[in-house]
Amino acid sequence: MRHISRARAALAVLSISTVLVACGDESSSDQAAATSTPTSEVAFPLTLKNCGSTLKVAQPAERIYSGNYEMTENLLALGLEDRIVGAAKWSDAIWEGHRKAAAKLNILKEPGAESVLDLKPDLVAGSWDLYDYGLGKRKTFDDLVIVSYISPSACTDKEDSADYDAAKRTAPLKAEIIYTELEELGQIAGVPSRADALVADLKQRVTNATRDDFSGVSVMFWFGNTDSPYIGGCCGAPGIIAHNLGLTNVFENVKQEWPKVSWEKVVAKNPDVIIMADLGKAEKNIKYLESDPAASTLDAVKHKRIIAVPAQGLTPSVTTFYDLEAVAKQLRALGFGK
Amino acid sequence: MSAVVPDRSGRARPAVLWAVGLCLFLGSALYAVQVGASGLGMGEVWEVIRARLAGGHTAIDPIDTAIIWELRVPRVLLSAVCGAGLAVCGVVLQSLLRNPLADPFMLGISSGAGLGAMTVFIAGVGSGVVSLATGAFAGAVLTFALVLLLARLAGRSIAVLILAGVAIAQLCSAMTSFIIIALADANETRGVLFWLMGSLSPARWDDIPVTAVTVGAGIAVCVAVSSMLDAFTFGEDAAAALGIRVARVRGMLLVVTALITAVLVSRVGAIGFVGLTLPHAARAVVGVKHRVLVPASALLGAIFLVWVDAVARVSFAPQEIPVGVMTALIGVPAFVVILVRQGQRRGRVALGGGR
Repeated sequence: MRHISRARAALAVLSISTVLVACGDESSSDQAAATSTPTSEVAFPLTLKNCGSTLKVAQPAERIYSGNYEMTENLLALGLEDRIVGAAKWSDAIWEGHRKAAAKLNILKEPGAESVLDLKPDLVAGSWDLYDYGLGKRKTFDDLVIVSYISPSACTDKEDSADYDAAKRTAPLKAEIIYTELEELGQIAGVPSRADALVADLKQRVTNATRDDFSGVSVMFWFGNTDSPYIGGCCGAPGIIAHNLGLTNVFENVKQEWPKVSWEKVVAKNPDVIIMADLGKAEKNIKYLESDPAASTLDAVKHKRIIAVPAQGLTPSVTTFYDLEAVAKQLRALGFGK
Repeated sequence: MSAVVPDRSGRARPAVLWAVGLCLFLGSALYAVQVGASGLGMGEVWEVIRARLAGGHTAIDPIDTAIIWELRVPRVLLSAVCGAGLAVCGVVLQSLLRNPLADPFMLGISSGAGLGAMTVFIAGVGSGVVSLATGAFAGAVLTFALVLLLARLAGRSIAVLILAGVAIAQLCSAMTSFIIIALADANETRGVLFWLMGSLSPARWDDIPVTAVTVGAGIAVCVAVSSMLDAFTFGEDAAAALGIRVARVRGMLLVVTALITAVLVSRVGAIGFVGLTLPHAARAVVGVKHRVLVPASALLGAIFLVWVDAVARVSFAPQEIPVGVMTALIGVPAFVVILVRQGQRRGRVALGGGR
């Protein structure tokens, strides 16, 4: 079940005449805005370019609605749990380092627009565009002086499409875009120094994880769905993990974020290792692989080289780095790397 | 909808009925605006509506104002417009096709409209109101023509027409699913559900003018030709004998229903069973004369969908149930009742409304 809620994008786009425009060309200014105030104090009101919109932030965000679990992880990583007034239900367990902070969150199952507005948020944040929450136009929030923030990774070097997973990326994502996002969130919440510390920590984690040389190891990223798997293409969050660790993604030529393929196609590629989203059903999925006539012929399945990581890291977010670490650790445990 | 509609059917006093109907509608709409996932109640709703309509200052929080004025009010209005439009489509189709089971959903018109809109959407021709409605209209007309052709080839009985409709509806649903699977994400089940089941949750003020004007004009046209609709009920030969240019009037009315269906489906997806069941309920109250039946069905349809959507909004809050699921839950049993009654009548009189 990959991001089912994205179907709402199509639905909401239909209901309105104005479409949130593509914003690939905004990325440079996004980053400029973030790096211009790298340290401690943020001057409010803050103006920020974000996915085709200019955000005006009057004061630090105090009441945050998080539209998806990737964004929730970002906010938790910034220590903002007390300011999250509502968070959309996640499909995987929250990353272990955040579980304690997440315990007291107000979790909403696919809330409609009214439920979200009822939280009286001053920031509505999501890892992909806001239509996913069935909330309608971004202008609704502008009119209500609610800041609507979308992960820059969702609109940078990416085709404009109602369907996040099927849209092609025009260039591989870099870790920096997630750093930028965390810095921007830190600014909006008025905690830029926390963001700086977090980014420094993440960079350290990447350095540590990439100390080993995993070059030559071929992998596939499998988000879910047993009948015909959703596989990670070149340029999304799996790309950040593979490129940093020097892994070869067997679907490197695929530009879409998470297209669906057949097991025959996977068998033809025969990756050394399968990296899959945990989603609380890792065991079940491994059993499936072992019993499926096609998938069971894979070397990775025969030699039990299957790595499960939290799903939210496979969408660009702070968890991507924790997944990167987890993948490196488990690859070492499997005897890879030197 | 005047309160002094002459009653030629000899049923209960029309003025009283209309007054009761309009009060029911207003009461339902006002009640529906007061319920929702958030705890906003009567006091806030009245205050916001007063401030919006009469102007002046309000102490209500701007976000609460938006919940009421930007979300709830347009949604209740759109559900009323949809209910009215679908019910009128049902009345017209049931008369023209002399088939008590006809409605845009059963005949595959809604699915065709959905397929058309989806095709336009995926092809990226545009996501504006006009292009989507145009795609939906093309889909509606094509599927409708296909269903009528199929039914004509196979004998034009009630059962054949419905079977043709179901077959074409399945085809359109399959093609819609296929397009979504091939070109979008296979797991976008909700996207499929939207087109196949309908949802009023995207309703905003932008949706109101085009739908309200279309449905309003459609009702006006149907009332204007109500005597012809009466004649059609007795068959095309009877209509022709009364001096009606059968092909022309029928073509015009079929286009009107396809247009109403297309505009509604392009905004809210395919909501089923409203057009099928509400006209029967209306007939039970006001009789079979279309001059009264058309506006009465519209009113009942509006009341019905306002209530159904209110239940869909609040019963599982914060989640919403697609309104088409609710209408099916209510509509299918009603469908069965109509079907059984129809069968019994045919058994007795050897006349079912078909040929």
